[in-house]
Amino acid sequence: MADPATMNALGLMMVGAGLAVGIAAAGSGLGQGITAAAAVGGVAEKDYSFGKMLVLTAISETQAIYGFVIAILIIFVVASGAGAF
Amino acid sequence: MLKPARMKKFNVLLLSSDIQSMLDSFKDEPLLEFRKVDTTLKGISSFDASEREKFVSYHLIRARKVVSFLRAYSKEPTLGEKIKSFFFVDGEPKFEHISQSELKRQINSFLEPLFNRVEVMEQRLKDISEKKSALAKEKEILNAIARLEVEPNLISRYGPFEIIVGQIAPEFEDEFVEILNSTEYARLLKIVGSEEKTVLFLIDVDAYNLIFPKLRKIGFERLVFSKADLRPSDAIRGIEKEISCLEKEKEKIIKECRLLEKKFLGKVLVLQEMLEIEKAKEKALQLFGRTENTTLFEAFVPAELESRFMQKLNKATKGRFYVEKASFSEEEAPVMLKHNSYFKNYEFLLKLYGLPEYNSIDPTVFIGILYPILFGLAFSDVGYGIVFLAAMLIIRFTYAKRSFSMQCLSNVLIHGAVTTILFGFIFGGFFGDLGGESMKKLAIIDLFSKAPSGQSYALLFIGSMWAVGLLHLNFAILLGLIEDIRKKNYKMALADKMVYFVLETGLAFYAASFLFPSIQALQLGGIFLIITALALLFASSGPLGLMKITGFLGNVLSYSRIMVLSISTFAIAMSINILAQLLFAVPIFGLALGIIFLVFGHFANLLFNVLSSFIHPLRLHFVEFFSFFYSGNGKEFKPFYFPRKITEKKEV
Repeated sequence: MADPATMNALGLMMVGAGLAVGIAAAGSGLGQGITAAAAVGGVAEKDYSFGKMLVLTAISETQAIYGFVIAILIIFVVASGAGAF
Repeated sequence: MLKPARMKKFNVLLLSSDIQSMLDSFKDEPLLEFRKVDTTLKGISSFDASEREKFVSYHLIRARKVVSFLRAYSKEPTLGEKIKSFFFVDGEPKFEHISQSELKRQINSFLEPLFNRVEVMEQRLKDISEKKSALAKEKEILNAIARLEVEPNLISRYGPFEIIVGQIAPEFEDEFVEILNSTEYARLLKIVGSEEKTVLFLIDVDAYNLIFPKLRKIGFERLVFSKADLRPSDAIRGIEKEISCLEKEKEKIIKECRLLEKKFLGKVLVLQEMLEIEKAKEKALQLFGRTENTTLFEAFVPAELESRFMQKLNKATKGRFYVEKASFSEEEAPVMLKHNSYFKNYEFLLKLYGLPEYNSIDPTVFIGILYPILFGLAFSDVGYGIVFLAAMLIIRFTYAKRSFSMQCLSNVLIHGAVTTILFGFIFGGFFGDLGGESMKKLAIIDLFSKAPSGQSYALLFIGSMWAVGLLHLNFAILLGLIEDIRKKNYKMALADKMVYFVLETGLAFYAASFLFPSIQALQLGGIFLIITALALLFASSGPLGLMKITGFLGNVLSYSRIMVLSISTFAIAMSINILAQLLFAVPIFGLALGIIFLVFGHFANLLFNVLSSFIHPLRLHFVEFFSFFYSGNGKEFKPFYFPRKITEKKEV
């Protein structure tokens, strides 16, 4: 069992990892909502653009993915360095 | 394979009398794409819309109308039939091709009378429908009056006064009473009903006209009815009888319609297909130029089909033609992709973005190689892979038989399912952690453990994806460099492509200098190359040029999404398993609830991840990979070709 100070630090790291992915995902979600709404309008007008629009809506997911990468780095690099894993 | 099919452009002159046989000969094979002849040249005029085209269009509209009418009232298939038709694709029944004279004869002998009959039936069905809705409305009014329990003949005019019946929404009842009370020449007699309030009131006609706009504003609807001499219950019975008679008549017409469908639909479909072909021929004619006795057309033909084109042209015109090869620009050439059966499946993915230009690189092969690998990496679960593979195999050999594009999509997904199983074995995923320890033992890499080097496998996975991204993007830059050099765009080649190689080599030298500190030239060379690259970027695009480095870095990092998807598939599946285990502990219904949750949870996870694994590798190609070399501005080769669906012509 690690000492309370280490446990506190690890807890904060986990909260940080959660915030990294959570806030990034919320932003991505908002962005994706806007893109998808515009894409639906675009496809309704030009149905052949479906493929491009589908990919455009996925672009805003990138930030969530970066958030996830940061979370992974926090967990596996920082927390692992502190002896959590 | 790395470039679209080579094209040849021909200018052909032939006798106008041979035009129909030439068009007939080419329409059954995708051989050539006609282009508009320049009719501004002296002595050449264009084909105007002929009487024949008008005739064809006129009857085509009629044939389509008959088909849509007969199909609209055809027998509704049972659920069993619907399921059967989903899985087992019956080929459309084939009818023999008919000659042009036979086409004309059949149009006159049965299409015309049939169309006239269909029009009468359609009109009658429309009248019945209108009459039925009018009667239904009247029935509703009579029901409302019946609720008031007053004699209908009382609802009439009495000198300057009138008894009026109407309906109002319950929430406006108070407002209605208030409006009515605002005039002293009105008296509310009755108000009944709960969902919709039926009101009866006596009012001075002038006062009614005065307050009517206010009543209208709160949604008041006056009920006017015609059968005031009858008791409401008797009138309702009469209306019901009338509706029943109309329904019987409608059934009779539908029965007749189904008889006509059985007897004539096949024949009309043949006429429709033949007329559509004739219309397409007439439209093609408008691209041609003509002189008094000859016709001139221009066409693009895939180079490999040149001899077939010549052979057909020779046969159709009995050798009476003059042909010359014409030069053409890259921009006007149509694009036809040419791949073996494996890569052909991936053409539709490329078409989602846009076709390559005629002389540029066709990246279908690169998509065909990397896409299924990235798909499998993103999904990487044996359990999901097996279920998905089984589903796709069933769809591929049943439903997908309907069209070529559906076959391609299902083939791509089958490839993805196979790689999913493969990577699932490597990472030890079986519906998340449902495989337990035995699956872990089989796995080559456990993402949540440490590699012998001491680093976490998850980090090594991220690093590997960045390496894949770096290699993939460098390959894209190389392709872009080749394209720029081919187009003699040397400035772009240097400042937009070579610069990345210079920068990366400089960084590699600089990094190597830490490994080999004794070799000083490495550090110096590295610094020199990095400064050169930065100077090139600055010179080409100013300070903003330096942003390209962060853009490139972002592109490389973007490949970590594959690892993220892989872990999220596993994590969601694991959460479903944990929650199901908690449900198993619930007494009595726990087992059933747990199983239901497990099945639906994993099914939902499968669907989400199929979508993600399909889109994200595609996005990596479209956004990151293509950005260095691909425009997707090619124009598709659209041959003069009409695959027959209903008719078949026996080759003589």
